Amino acid sequence: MRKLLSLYQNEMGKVLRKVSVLVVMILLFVIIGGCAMVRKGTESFSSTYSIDYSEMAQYYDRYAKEHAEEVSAARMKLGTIDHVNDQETFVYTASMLITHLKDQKCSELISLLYKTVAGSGAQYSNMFDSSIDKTVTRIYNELYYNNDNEPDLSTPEALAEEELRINTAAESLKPEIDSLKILMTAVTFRELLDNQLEVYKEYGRDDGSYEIFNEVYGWLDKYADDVKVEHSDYIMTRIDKYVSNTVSLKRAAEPAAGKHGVSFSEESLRRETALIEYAFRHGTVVTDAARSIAPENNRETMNYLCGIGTFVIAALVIMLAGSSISSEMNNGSIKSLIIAPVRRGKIFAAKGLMLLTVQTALLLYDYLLTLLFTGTLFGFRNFGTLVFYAFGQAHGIPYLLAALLSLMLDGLAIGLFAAAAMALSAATHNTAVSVTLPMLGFFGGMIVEVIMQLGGSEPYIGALIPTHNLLNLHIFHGVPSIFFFFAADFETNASVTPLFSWIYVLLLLTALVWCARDAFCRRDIT
Amino acid sequence: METILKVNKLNKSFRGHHVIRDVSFEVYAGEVFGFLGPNGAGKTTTIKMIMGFVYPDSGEITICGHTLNKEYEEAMQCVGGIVESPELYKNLSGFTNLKMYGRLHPGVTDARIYEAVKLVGMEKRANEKVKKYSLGMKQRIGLAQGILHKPKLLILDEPTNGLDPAGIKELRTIIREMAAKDNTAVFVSSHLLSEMELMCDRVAIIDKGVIIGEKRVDELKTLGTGERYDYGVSDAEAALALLREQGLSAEKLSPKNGLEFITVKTEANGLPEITYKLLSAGISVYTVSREENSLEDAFINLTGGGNTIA
Repeated sequence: MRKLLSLYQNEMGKVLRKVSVLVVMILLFVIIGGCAMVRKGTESFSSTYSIDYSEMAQYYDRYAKEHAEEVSAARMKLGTIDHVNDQETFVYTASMLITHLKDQKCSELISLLYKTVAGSGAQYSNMFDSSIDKTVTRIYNELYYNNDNEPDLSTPEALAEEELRINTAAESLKPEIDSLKILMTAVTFRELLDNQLEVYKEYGRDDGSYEIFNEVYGWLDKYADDVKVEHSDYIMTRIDKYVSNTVSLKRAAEPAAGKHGVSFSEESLRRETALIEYAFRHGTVVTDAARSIAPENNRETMNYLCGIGTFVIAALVIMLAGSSISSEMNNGSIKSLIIAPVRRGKIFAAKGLMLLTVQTALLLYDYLLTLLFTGTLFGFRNFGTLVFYAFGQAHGIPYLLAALLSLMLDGLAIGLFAAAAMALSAATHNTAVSVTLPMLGFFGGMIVEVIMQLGGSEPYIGALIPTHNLLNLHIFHGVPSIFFFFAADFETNASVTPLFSWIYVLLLLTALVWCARDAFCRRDIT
Repeated sequence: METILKVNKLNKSFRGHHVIRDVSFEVYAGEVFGFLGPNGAGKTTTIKMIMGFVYPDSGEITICGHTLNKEYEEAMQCVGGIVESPELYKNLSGFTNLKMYGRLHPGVTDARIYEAVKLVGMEKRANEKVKKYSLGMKQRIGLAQGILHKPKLLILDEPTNGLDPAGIKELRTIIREMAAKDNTAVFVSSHLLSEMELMCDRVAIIDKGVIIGEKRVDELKTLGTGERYDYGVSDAEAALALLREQGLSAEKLSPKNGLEFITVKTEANGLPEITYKLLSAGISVYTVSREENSLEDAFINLTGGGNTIA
């Protein structure tokens, strides 16, 4: 052990004198700092024009772009909804506008919107629970029909007066309006539940999902009085997913369904419902903000910046690993190690430990730099809790810890390619080959992954690309992949399980390390 | 005498080419043992096997009583040395290189490093980066590295390469002192006979992977020195018989350009008489040339002509 430590000390001494390490540290500082400042500079733009793939976000985007005119047009549209045939669409639109207008602090428009909601709700009160009915009626009366005679709004003064009255009333009714939002959500959910049931009946499938929906509805019912208003936005997002699932289910039932099946499964439903339950239990909003590539919050900025740093670190570590043995072989300096009274296995282990130390230290440096810049520019307090699904339940973990763990998982992916580089280095004694091939593997894997993402998922191929399992989710989706590793399915919902991935990656790592060690220890040094 | 290094029936092949065949020898404490042979004879391969660079196909190496393949670390603890040229970390100073190496040996202190550096005459340059060193300076630091932990067996592969005459003399002094004062066994390889004569107590001669002889240096001196003259004659066999009859040492050489050749060991002042005798016996002499006494001659002499070197 003493000799191993001495060898390790020597290896660290050598690597710390390398200019490349210092260059990478400076590069990381410049890149992360620069990207953070660029994001800060575009924050207002991006928050307004955020790109999100959910249906709701597209609405946000559209309305945000067209600002007041479009909002006004939407208000008029809502005002003309006398007979809401598609309640689902109605609630979506209402929710979207409420959220948007809340962001814009347009209390006037909010009140008008609620008035419309109340008006529509009144006409369909038979569809609602009695509690909704009661709330709706009260808002209806307070805001709009608080007397039998409709006000005369023919003059600007009268219109302004009515607007003021509505705004004031809306403020005082806010708790009840919020409550209405929640309950409206619950109703929508129930509607979807019924739709789902019809789908199952129509296609003759019942995989237990209906029961899960029913269960979720129970939670909604149970927690509705306790939740805060912002939870409704979250629930709407989740409902959006259920709608997608319904569509997928229909597709799956059709013979012409995609060759890899569907993105709907009982397990994914269980995950969704577990996340909803967690939100209600803890009063926490679980968002899908990570799906967006825009810097909507500092958590996303953390993900983005950490990911950029990972690429730079991967390049350096692969370079160090690829040259660790071959360069010493070529310049002859390996001789002074070989003639020392230590077995080659220890020399190899010391080199491996050195690489691990450098990689871990740089990843920590990456993390701290990212935290420093993100915190300074976007605030230190808004990271919150990351909620993830594992072992059949939703769990929460402080986001900053999750990000750190995720980064270390990225280190495992880098380690795979570093081990390959060491194996090539020991076998070929050719630094160029030993660095270039793993680099191509690492970054080529990413490129293949991007192409696969664009052209549709190929989960069975993807499962064989280590970066697909380890790094890609983090880089491209901003989701700390370690947690999804424990989940039942990937983004693709492939039949490749996380267990397969863990076994695959760990076996691959072991094999590569073994090959590298074998090549170094058993070959003659001539 | 205590046996420090024992090499027993080493064999090694590279890509089907058998380069080391049944090589065996022993090196004792307090002696300087020379390993002599032409380039490509297998000296460095043998040394690399002793120092753990190359794994033998068969045979056994024992250092200080420890078998190399079973007690590697214990065996290598007794060894110091240089293989081929000393290659150091160029971006580090000579001193740092020595310090890194010293960490792997118990008991090597900074004071010992300074002592070793001083011994090889590098005390003024030890803190400079190795990339600024000349070949000779690297050799000196390499030697300091080899003796840093006061090994019982010092192995030096072609140690005088790159050294100026003064440096070679210093090296010789250091080696002799280590053997005499510290009772170190020194194993030196070289293809230069003169070097071996001055430095070693005993030599083993290797050619084509085979040890063809093992002698004390004083014996080598008598066999390997003296002048030699090559005669181009009309009848080599008759000339050979005549000269041997006269008590002269003569050998037949391979024919060149249609002429037969013999070689005769003699002083320059013996030439007229030899030439006269050949001509008197009716043997025509076409050319006479003086040749340096080569290593091969020494080998031939050592092995009684039984093993010739091409």
